[in-house]
Amino acid sequence: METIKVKRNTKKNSLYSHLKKYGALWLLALPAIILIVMFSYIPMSGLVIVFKKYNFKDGIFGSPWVGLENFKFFFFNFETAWRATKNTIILNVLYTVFGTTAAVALAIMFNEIKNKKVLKVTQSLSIIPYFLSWVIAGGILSAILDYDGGTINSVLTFFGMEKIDFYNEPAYWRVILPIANIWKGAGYSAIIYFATITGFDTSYYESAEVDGATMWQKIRFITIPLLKPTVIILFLLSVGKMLSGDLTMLMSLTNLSPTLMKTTDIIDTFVYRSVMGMGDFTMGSAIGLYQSVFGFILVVFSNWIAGKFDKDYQLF
Amino acid sequence: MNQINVGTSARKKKKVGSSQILLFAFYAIVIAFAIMCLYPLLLAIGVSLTDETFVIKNGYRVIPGEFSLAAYKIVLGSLGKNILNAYTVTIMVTVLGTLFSLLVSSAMAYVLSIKEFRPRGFLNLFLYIPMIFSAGLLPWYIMCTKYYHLTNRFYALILPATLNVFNVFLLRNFFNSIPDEMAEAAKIDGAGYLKIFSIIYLPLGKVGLVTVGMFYALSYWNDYYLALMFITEQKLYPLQYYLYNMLANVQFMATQANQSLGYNINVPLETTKMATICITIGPILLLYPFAQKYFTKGVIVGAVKG
Repeated sequence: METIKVKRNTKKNSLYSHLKKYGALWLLALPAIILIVMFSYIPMSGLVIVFKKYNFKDGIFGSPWVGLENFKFFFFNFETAWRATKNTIILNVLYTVFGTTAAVALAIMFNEIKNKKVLKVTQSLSIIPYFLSWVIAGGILSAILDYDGGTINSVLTFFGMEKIDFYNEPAYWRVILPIANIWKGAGYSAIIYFATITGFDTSYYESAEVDGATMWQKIRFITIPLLKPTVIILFLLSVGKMLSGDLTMLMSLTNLSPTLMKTTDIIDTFVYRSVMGMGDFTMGSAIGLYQSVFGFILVVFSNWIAGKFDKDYQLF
Repeated sequence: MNQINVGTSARKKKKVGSSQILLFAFYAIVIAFAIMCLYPLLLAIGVSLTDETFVIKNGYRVIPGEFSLAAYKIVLGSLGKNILNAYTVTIMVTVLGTLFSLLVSSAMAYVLSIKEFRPRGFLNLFLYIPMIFSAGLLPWYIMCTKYYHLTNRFYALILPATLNVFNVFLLRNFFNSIPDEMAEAAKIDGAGYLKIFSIIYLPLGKVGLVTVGMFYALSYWNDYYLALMFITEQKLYPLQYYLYNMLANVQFMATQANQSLGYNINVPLETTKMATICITIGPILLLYPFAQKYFTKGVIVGAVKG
C-alpha cells in the first residue's frame, strides 16, 4: 500500500531508498499497525458470517454459505430486534440531551463560583464517579434502589409513602439509566466545558459589567452563545453513536434482568444474550451487521453535518 | 467587581440583589451535585462497617448503626486468597498493560507527528477507520477465541485493549507541540529517528505520556469486558470481574467462602459486597488527587485537534 505513494519518486530504487531513509519509522509504527489489523480490520472481514451458517469447527471462513437465510431469523424475531433498536436510540437520546445539559449547566456554575476553596472541592468531588467502574456503580446503586433497605425507599417510608420496587418496574429505568450516566460523566464533561469557558475573551464580560449587566444576563447573552458552537458540534457527533451502547454498563446496573428488558434491552445486550446465552450465532450476526452498517452510515452523516458547521470538527 | 458597583443607582442595586440570589442557587446546586457524587462512596464504606443483621433490619445507612468489622474479616480472611489473587491479576494487567500501551501508542504517535514522513496521511486514515466502523461484537469475538486463541490467557486481558486510537491522537497532539528545531539540531548531530524519539520526544512529552498513561491505567483497572469475553478460569479473574460475579450472583459468593474453608458458614452477603467494593476503590482514590491534575490537562490538549 505504502509503495504506491513512494513510487512518485522516479528513481529506480525508490522503495529501497524510502526504507533506507524511513525504515526506523515503519519499525516504530509496526506494533500498532499489527494490533489494529488484528483487532479491527480482520474482524471486519468476519462480517461475512452473516451470510453463513456458522459452526465452531469450520470457523467463519469454512462454514457453508446460506445467502440471506439468517435475515429470515431476523424478521422472525423482529419484535425483539426492534425493541432493542428502539431502546438503544431512546437511551442514547436521553443520555445526550440530559447529559449535555447537566454538564454545560455545571460548567457555567463553576465559572461563576469565585470562592477558590469551594470551587476546588466541588470540582474534585464531581469527577470521582468518572474514576469508578460500572461494576462498582451497579453495586452501590443496588444499595440505593433496594426494595427493603435502599436509601430511596427508606426515605419514602419515613414520609409514610408507598415503597417503589425499582428492580421489577421497567418504566423507571428510562430515568435511572440517564441519571446514572449523568452521575458518572457530567462532572468530568463539565470540567472540559469549564476549561472552554475560561478560554473566552474576557473583554466581553468586562464591557457587560460596565453596562451593569446582571450575572444572569452575562450567562444568557455571552457565555451560552459562545458555547453554542461547541455544544452543537458535540451533539451532532453524538448522532453517530446512536446505535452503540455500553454492554458493561447495562450488565452492571441491571444484571440483564428479564423483568427489566422492556426498557433496558439494547442492541449490544441483545447480541450478547443471543450469542453467549443461547449460542445463537445467526440472530446475533444479523443484528450485529445491521448495527455496524447503520452505525457507519450515521457516523458518516453526522460528520458531514458537523463539517458543515465547522470544518475543524470534521474527522475525515 | 464590587468597586464598579460603588455608588450606583438603586436600580442597579436591585440587579445585584438578583445576581446574589442566583449565585446562592449556583452554590447550592453545585454543592448538592458534589454531595451526590460522594454519597454513594460514603454509603459503601458505611454499610461495609455495619453489622449484617442491623443492615437487614434497618436498611443501608451511611452511618454504621452497629459497628462491625465482620465483613472485612471475611474479605481479608476466608475470601482473602481469592481476592488477593484477583488483585494480583488486576495489578499485573494494569502495570504491564499500561507500559505496553504507552510504548506502542507513543511510537505510533511519534511517527504521525513527523512532517516530512509522506505516508503520514495514509496512517492517519488507517487509524481513523476503526474509530468509525467496527465489525461489532460477534466477528471480533469469534476471531479472538477461535483464531487467536485468547480464551483463558493472561494476555487476553491486555492485547485487545492495547491500542486506543483516541489516546494515540492525544499523544500526537502533545508531540506536535514539541518544537521541530530540537529534532533538527539532533539530526545535524547525526541522530537517527529512533534516537530522536528516545532522547528528545519521550522526555519532552512527559506530561502527555503521564496523562495518556493515566487514561490507559484507569481503563485497564476498571475493565471487565475482556474478562467477561475470554476468562472462565477463576485464577485469571481480575478484580472487577470477581466483584461482578459476587454482585450478580449470590451463589458464587456462598461457594467462594465455603470452598476455601471446607465447611459451610453463613456469609454476611450485603456487608461483604460493600467491603469488596471498598477495597476495589481504594487504590483509585489514593491515585486520584494526583491523576486529577493530569486528566484535565490532557483533555484540554486533546480538545485542540492536531
